[in-house]
Amino acid sequence: MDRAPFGLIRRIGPFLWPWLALLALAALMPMTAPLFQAWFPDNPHPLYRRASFLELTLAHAILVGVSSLVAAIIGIGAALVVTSDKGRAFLPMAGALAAIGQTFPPLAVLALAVPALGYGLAPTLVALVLYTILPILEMTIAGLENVPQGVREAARGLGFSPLGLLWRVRLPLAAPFILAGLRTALIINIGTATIGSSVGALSLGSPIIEGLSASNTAYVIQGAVIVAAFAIATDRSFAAIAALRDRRA
Amino acid sequence: MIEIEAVSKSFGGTAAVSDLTLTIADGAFCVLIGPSGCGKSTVLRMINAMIAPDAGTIRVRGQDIAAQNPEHLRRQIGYAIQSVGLFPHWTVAANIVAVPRLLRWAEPRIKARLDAVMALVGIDPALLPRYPHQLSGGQQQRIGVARALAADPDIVLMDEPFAALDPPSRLALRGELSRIHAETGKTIIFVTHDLDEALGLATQIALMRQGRLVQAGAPRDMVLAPADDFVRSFFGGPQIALRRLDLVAVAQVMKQVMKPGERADAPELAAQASLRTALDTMLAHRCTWLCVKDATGRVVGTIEIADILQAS
Repeated sequence: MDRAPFGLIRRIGPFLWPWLALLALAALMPMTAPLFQAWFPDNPHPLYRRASFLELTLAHAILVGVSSLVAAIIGIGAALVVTSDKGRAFLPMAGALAAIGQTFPPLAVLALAVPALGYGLAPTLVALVLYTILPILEMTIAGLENVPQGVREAARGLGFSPLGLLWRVRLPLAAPFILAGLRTALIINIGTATIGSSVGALSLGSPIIEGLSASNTAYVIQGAVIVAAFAIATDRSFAAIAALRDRRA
Repeated sequence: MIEIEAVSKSFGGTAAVSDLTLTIADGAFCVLIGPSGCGKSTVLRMINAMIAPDAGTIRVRGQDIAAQNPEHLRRQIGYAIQSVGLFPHWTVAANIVAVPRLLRWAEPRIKARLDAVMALVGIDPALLPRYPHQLSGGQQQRIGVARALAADPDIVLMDEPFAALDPPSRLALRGELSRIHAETGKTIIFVTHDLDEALGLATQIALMRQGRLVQAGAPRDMVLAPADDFVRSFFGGPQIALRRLDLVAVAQVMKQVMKPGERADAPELAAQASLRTALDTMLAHRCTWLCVKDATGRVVGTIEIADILQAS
């Protein structure tokens, strides 16, 4: 290909455009003030100004990123343990525990965590991690268990070490499942992270929570639109990764 | 040489193998056979330390395997199974050279060995860049056999490798395996419950029943000198007379010279074919005698239907 730069853009484009759109949306939100003023003529404060939307988006991304990373480490790690020969006895228990974590409403976790951890970031992270582990754990277990028995048996018989079998056979074969789990987990997480603002964590939930308590629908819409764009950008990125994998296979 | 000495193994209180002693010589094609659940697969999987025996010792190449690193041992022993178990995310080429890669061979050596194995097993080079799901069952198992042979091990373990194949693929691969054994002189331990497969491939047969070794010996001994009624019924059954013909090669009973004035205008047959094949060829051509050729295609003698009757 002689037009290499275009090739590169085409390749990273699917990752790039949704995020650029998200950033543009957050940066340009103040310019929509006249729009909201027209929509809600009686509202004296049609634009959320306590923090910039870029700042909120960044704080939200950190909240989602940190909690998802921790949940991924715990979820994938636990899945590896309970699908190993030694840990297999705990397989049903791990599923049950993760399901309980998922059923427990994040708001309730927040309420319980605040007395122990105080207000702000810490209780929010705890609630998000608990809430996000299940899809990652479940999909990782499904992916690892999906590796055919014959493949595992052959690999062992040919002389793969347990670690070699995991790294070169089981994890690559489970990767599409793990990615699907992460995709679901992240999208749930992005929506759920907004409740962190009810205990004082800065996030895209801040305008939503304040808008709800002050009956300012404009704030709610401004926060919600960016949260939605964030979720869509994340989803598109996972779709792009999946497309890359499909093309290679 | 593989020496299995007084080996026992039970799973959850049920004995799978009881006090089994068996020696497999270098270059043997040893077939472990018996009804399902007789413990033959367990014996096979104990040889490469995938299952540890409860009692007894197993020595491979003179060394107790209990004292060896199991992964290191397995990389020195070929392994092929019924479900094949090719790595679905690797190409055919990567699948074949899996063990040389584990052994960290240099790339040129791996490449050279890949070519050699493909020639040995009869693999179309066009298959190399494909993925396992693009192959037929027979092609997959051919790759499975190539993978087992890739690191050029002197010992190969095979657990019902052809059991799931359709009859034509099964026969073709049986023929290939027989030729590979003859060409390479590797020690092959082969588990099956298929009597024809056992008699067609083995130089040594070990018949098991309920975890015990009932009789071990040359295929001929198993059929002609059964130790008890179980062996007799296992190797007998219908067509026992035909099975006996399986055990004798044409070369053993053919006449070296042609009859005076005769020309080689009868159907031809390879000298290493069995008498059963000879009889089949005669029936197919509705004739009573055949020309016998050696490996180079030269006519070396004749065989008549009377010779077959006499030998049976």
